[in-house]
Amino acid sequence: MLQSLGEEREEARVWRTTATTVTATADRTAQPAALFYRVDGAVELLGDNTPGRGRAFRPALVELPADVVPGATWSGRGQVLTGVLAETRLSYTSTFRAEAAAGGCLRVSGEVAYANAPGTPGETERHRKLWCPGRGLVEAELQAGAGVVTTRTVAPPPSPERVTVRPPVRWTDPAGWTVRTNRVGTVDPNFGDYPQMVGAPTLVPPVVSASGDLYRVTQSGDLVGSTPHTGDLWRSTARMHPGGAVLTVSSFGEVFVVTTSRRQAVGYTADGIRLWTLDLPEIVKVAANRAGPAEAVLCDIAGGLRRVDLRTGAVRWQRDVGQGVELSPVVAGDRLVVSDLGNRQTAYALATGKQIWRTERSARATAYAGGVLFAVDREALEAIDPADGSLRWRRVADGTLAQLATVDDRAVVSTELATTIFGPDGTEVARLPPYTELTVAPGHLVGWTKTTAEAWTADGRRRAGWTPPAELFTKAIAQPVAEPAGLRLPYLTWQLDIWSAAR
Amino acid sequence: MTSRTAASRLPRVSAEVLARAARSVWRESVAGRIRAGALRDLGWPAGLRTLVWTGTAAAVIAALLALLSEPIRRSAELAVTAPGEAGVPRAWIWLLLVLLVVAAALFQVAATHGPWWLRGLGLVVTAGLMSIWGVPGVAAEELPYTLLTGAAVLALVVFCLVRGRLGFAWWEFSVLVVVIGAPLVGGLVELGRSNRAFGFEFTPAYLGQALALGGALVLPLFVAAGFAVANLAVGVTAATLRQAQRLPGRRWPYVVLAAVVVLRAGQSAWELLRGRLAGDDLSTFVPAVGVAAALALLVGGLGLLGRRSAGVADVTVLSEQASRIALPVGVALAGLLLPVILVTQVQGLLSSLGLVPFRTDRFDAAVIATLGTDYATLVIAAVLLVLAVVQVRAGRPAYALVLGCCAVAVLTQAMRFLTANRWPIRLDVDALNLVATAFTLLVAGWYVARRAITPDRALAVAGLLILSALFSYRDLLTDPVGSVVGYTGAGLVLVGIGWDFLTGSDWGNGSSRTFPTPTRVLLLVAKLMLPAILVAFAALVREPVAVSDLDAYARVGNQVLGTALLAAAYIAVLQLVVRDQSLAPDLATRVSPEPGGSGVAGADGIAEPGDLAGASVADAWPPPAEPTRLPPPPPD
Repeated sequence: MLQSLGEEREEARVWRTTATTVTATADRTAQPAALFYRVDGAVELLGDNTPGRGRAFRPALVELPADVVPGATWSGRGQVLTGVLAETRLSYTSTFRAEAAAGGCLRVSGEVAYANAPGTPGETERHRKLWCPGRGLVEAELQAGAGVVTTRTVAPPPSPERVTVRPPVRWTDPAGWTVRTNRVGTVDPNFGDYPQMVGAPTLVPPVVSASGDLYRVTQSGDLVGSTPHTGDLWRSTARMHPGGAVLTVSSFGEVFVVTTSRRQAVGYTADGIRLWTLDLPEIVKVAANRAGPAEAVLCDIAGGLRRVDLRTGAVRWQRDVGQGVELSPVVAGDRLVVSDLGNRQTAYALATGKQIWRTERSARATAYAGGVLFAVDREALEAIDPADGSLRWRRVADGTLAQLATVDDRAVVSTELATTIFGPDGTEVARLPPYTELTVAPGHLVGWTKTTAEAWTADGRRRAGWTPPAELFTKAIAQPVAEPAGLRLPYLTWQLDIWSAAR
Repeated sequence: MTSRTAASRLPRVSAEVLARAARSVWRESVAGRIRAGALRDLGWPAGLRTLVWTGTAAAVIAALLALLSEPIRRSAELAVTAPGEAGVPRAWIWLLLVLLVVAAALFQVAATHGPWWLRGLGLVVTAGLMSIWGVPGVAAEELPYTLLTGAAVLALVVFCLVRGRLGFAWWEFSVLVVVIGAPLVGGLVELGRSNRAFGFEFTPAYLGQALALGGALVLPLFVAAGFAVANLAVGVTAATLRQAQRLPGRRWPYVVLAAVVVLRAGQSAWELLRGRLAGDDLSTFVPAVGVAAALALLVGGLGLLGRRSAGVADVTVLSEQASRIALPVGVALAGLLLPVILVTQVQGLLSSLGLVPFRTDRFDAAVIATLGTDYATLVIAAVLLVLAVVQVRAGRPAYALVLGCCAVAVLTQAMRFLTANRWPIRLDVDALNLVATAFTLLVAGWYVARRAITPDRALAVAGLLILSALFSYRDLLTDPVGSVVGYTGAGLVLVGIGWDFLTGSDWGNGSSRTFPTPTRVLLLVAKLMLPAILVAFAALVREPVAVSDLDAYARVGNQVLGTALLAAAYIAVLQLVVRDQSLAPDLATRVSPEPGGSGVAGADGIAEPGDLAGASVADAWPPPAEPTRLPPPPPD
């Protein structure tokens, strides 16, 4: 399709429409219907890719000229390429006419006739479309053969129920893990399989759905899912485009929350159905956190705090923290604790949003485990009582604190000198080598240096060590994702390493 | 000096006297300093005044952009380059670019007529700025823009060589705006094309790079700006103390002292109780006591090394002394960034050549840079200490005291390094302030117990406590600005650069062969503009670290220079307490003893009608009761 654009490929403005079948349960194998238009001036159909049919028009089929007025007519002819290698070529001839309609709209009607060879008539499609200023395509009717497909603007269907919880992570002993290298590619029933993807992923941390599919953000602002296909090939599944640049993605089972540079939060199902869109006064830079079985909490950079229903996007309550926020709020039991840029910590009741306490405390990272709220500044780990914000204990770390994580009911802090595991009462459980990154799962943690990785149990017993290829650290920028059976390491090249017990 | 006997003869305080005293305080600590430090049109060449107004207006626009950043962000589409960034309002990028071009053109005009090294620096920075926008690539379609940039840079070099030999002309600014602006416009056109091709926003990234380049030049200004609040607090306190000590009456100083003791004690108790030091136990006070001991040692050492005849440090000149060293110290502290830049750049170059891996445990840029920074901090502290000794030996106790306190304050930045990063030793300036308050209360109690608390002592002790109270509420001025702008550092910087421009531009009123007036004036205007643009950008992207952590530099300035100045002021006033001396001596016998010092006149050294600390006995009111001890003759 892109080849239809020729030399203008780099500068053309392309509009993609995607239609997804709403089903009661997520169907990851269902192929969405996609239409690709060029919209620089005229609206021109570059091609379509729908279940059972994929076509590319060369030159593009003009559906609405740039200078169209009521009474205008236009026509076109060209080739239609189909098949895996575009080996099948039909010719097409189109004629259209525009008429005035109510509200300043234009009703466009016409025919597209296909032929296998010159003089050999084939299928004819009859189109009727209603285009309106500021609204775009409002109605469409396509008659092909005896069948007629009508598309109208309707009220959104009820949001499909989706699982909003993830299965618990239960790692097997990392000592038995093996490393398998996979690639993400395109598997398309119309255009064939390609063991590669177009475009590059961004550094937005990937997420995993309840079913184990991996979702990554691309530089074109899409959220693309991938699922195991055959052998070492993963195929791309849903492709979501919330608009603007994607800033964060959070996974809540089969529901995702995406925040964008358009100051919006968008809810999606894992099969690509847009559930809701929430307009916000400022952007959200920290990923949404779970705040209940079907609720998430969003905090924008200006300190606007909201508890949101994952299925509908309804705001349960919202508060103004009063200062900018760059740390993700932490759910601590029935409290929600926010650390702001004014060096304050504030706790709100999770159910009502009522402020419970506020104290002055500088925090560079926060986490909750075992009934204790942990916070670190540059040099000390503090254990805070989430009930009233009082300090339970404070432990000074060797060196400058870089990482904070929790494993089971323990806090793990890492500096340039050492990684230390502290119990809930402040006792030092174990001292490990220094790590630049920590990946945790119940009972285990993996520490990353800039060249190696080591797996430990929560009580400080070493279970395994790896020296991955150097390119993992240059091309993956270490974005490990904990999954139920082990780790996933997505590369910026769409390569995907899986560390888990051999199947 | 005013003795107790003299004070007892003074008439009672009236409202009129208080009003005159307040006016004097205002003149001395604010109006006088602005009058003395502001730019003045002393026969400027044609067009220079217009350029000054242009630059100042541009700085005001930048400050307004910062102040209005919240509604601007909310109403504009945001362009985000990378995840984790807050995005810049797309529709306002052009205004930031225009401001940047104006600032660069003003700086380049100044540099063109400056000494050879400034000319070279100007060429490197301006050409670097033009190159960022003008060399987006080497593909065929990008070639015209690359050629345009090359031609513009060549034109800039020729312009600099030709005009550098001649005098200033106003149209140079216009020419340079075109020369510098051409590659930027070309770059924008080209980026507009490639943005669409890649689906990636290059423009905000390029703008950030361009501002980071300019920001590297003015980082010292952020450090210097950080101590403006402390500077103002000390100036006002010193002026108030001096005027108060000249007021008549015996009893009211004790009433003032009692009130201040109650207020400050209450404030301190509140700080402790409400958890200002939350999470800190008594160990927080150990470094504070250590620093207090170091300051005591410093005072003792300087006292032993100094000339007896030089007397005590004059608290009224401390602010100006500190202002003199603010920029050099800022340059030194901001220069600590150089090892970081050097190491990371070298590592990047070597790794791109395949000579070293991109990331290894053995070659960690961050670790090396941190080490370099720590060592450099020690060197700066040592240099400041040596300078303090030199100054005290030369009979300039106030200058020496500021330098010495600054050395101790700089040293506190490397305290943790001195323990091989193993001890969590860190100076909490609030804890140090509480230690100072406790010590002041002990001193007051000592003199009360010995029945030696004279009116002058009472007022001086009250002055110490007021200094502590002001220090404790140092964010009072900057936080409201910061909360409007969106992050706290902005208020500190905007107030700082504004105050510095108003009171620290006297250098621009002079002229020399290497630094003619236009160069001086335009450098000062550029010095105002660039930080304002950086703050505007940082506020618009809601990202304090967008172009460097401006907030962090301002906080370092506040912590190092501000703490040093307040410590010096505290020590100077404490010396008055111990010696039972007044800050308002006989006017006929006192002159400015140190460079930059104003003696007992207003901060500008200019006597005002009605100024209680005027330049002559006739101007002074009330008249000195009787000659007392004469101050030592000026040593310089």
